Amino acid sequence: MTNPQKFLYPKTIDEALEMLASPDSCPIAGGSDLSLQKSTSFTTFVDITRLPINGIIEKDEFISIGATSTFNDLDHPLVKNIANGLLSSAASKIMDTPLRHQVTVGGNIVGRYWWSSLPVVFLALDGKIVLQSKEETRTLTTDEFFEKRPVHIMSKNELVTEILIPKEVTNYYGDCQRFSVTEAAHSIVCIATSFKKESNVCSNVRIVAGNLIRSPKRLTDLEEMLEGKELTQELIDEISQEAGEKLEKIRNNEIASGEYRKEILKVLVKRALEGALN
Amino acid sequence: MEVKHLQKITIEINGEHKKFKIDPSIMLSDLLRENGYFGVKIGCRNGDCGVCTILLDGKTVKSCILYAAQAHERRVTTIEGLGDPLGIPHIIQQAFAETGAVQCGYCTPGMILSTLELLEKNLNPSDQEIKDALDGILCRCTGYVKIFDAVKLSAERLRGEN
Ligand SMILES: Cc1cc2nc3c(=O)[nH]c(=O)nc-3n(C[C@H](O)[C@H](O)[C@H](O)COP(=O)(O)OP(=O)(O)OC[C@H]3O[C@@H](n4cnc5c(N)ncnc54)[C@H](O)[C@@H]3O)c2cc1C
Repeated sequence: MTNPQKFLYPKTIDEALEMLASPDSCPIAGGSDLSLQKSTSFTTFVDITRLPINGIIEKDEFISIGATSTFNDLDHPLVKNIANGLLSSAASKIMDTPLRHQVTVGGNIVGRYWWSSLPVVFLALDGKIVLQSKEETRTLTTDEFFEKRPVHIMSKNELVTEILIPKEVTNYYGDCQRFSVTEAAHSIVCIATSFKKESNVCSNVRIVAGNLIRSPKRLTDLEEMLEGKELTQELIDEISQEAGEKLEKIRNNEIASGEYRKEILKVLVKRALEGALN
Repeated sequence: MEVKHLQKITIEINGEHKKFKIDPSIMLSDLLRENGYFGVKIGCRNGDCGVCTILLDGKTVKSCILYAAQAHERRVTTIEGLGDPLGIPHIIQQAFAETGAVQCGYCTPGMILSTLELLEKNLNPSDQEIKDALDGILCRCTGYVKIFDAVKLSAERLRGEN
């Protein structure tokens, strides 16, 4: 177990960033991951849940989701409006009620495990991640943020403060499908898809697979198969058959074999495209 | 030997303001039990089984994966906070007892607190809503049927029926 020596409770982002500049400190949000880690070099935990970064609001061209919003907070009218409710309905199916009250969006994308599911959805929605440190504020696309593990993307004293979802995707079609042994268990495969549909033609297609490796992955070969086309049942069948064929070997994990997960991937791609269409 | 820095925190527990000097690495479930709130059970210590469930600012959370320091200046409700201290149980506790929803009793505090959270928002829950509200707590005795009966009976009584 981790061994915090001190908790600090900043009330403003500036105060928090000042505290995080110290080499022995790290942010704690829901604490559901940090409390289970075997060890960490950090001894000062900066509790970021009292910062004003827990709201869901409209901002110019984006819907802004504060990093300390919990999974249950995503049951919000602004979020429900996004791509057939893709994000809110995905969040409502992950974990159980008490965990969804505790686990934060920021903690889920930074403390990333193979089972983390929100990164898959954020990547499908072409979101942006806002990072703040004492020195600067920078905004990364989800393609950039999820390309590598968080330690290679962000510095230790950076805080994720918000996730931005372009308002444009509000009218997109979308769906998320996850497969786990029981509803509350870690998912073995997760698929999220979103696309624009005008006069039956699909564009801006994103098909993202997750829970196969630590970071979510866009299945660009499948996206290309759908881009500029009409989504018919025949095309759905064709696309789903190709799912996973171009991915590097899907490994066995403690719950399922790689072969099995590849088969499940095909089924979920089919269901996600059918779901988005309906 | 490593000397631990003790941290002062205050938590409102079942309506009472309590001050503690804690080792910052103590989990909330352990702090509560050390202070006599034995209705908080310890099971998996992994956030899986839910027997340590309490209400934090009115919402269910699993106290075995929450540091006590995270509850500083927040409101905690344990099962001891329900009902009358003179022995008259809360309507939900009574319904659990009457319907046979309590067998070994280990999951019962978490089940009752989850029911309370649900019924405070919704006095007419559907079966699916009951299932969703209780999904964080495992029961290995009852098969959940009696627990569902208890939630429905509680809802009826809180609606002023039965
Ligand atoms: C039993 C169980 C089952 C679970 N199942 C799933 C599942 O199926 N799918 C799923 O997606 N998740 C699941 N989770 C949740 C997941 O494993 C992590 O516990 C959770 O995402 C961590 O979120 P948190 O808010 O508690 O983060 P914390 O534990 O507070 O922090 C996690 C890490 O992120 C850092 N951090 C937190 N917030 C920020 C921020 N804003 N900026 C910078 N750094 C930050 C912390 O420093 C820490 O390193 C499960 C958890 C449990 C306990």
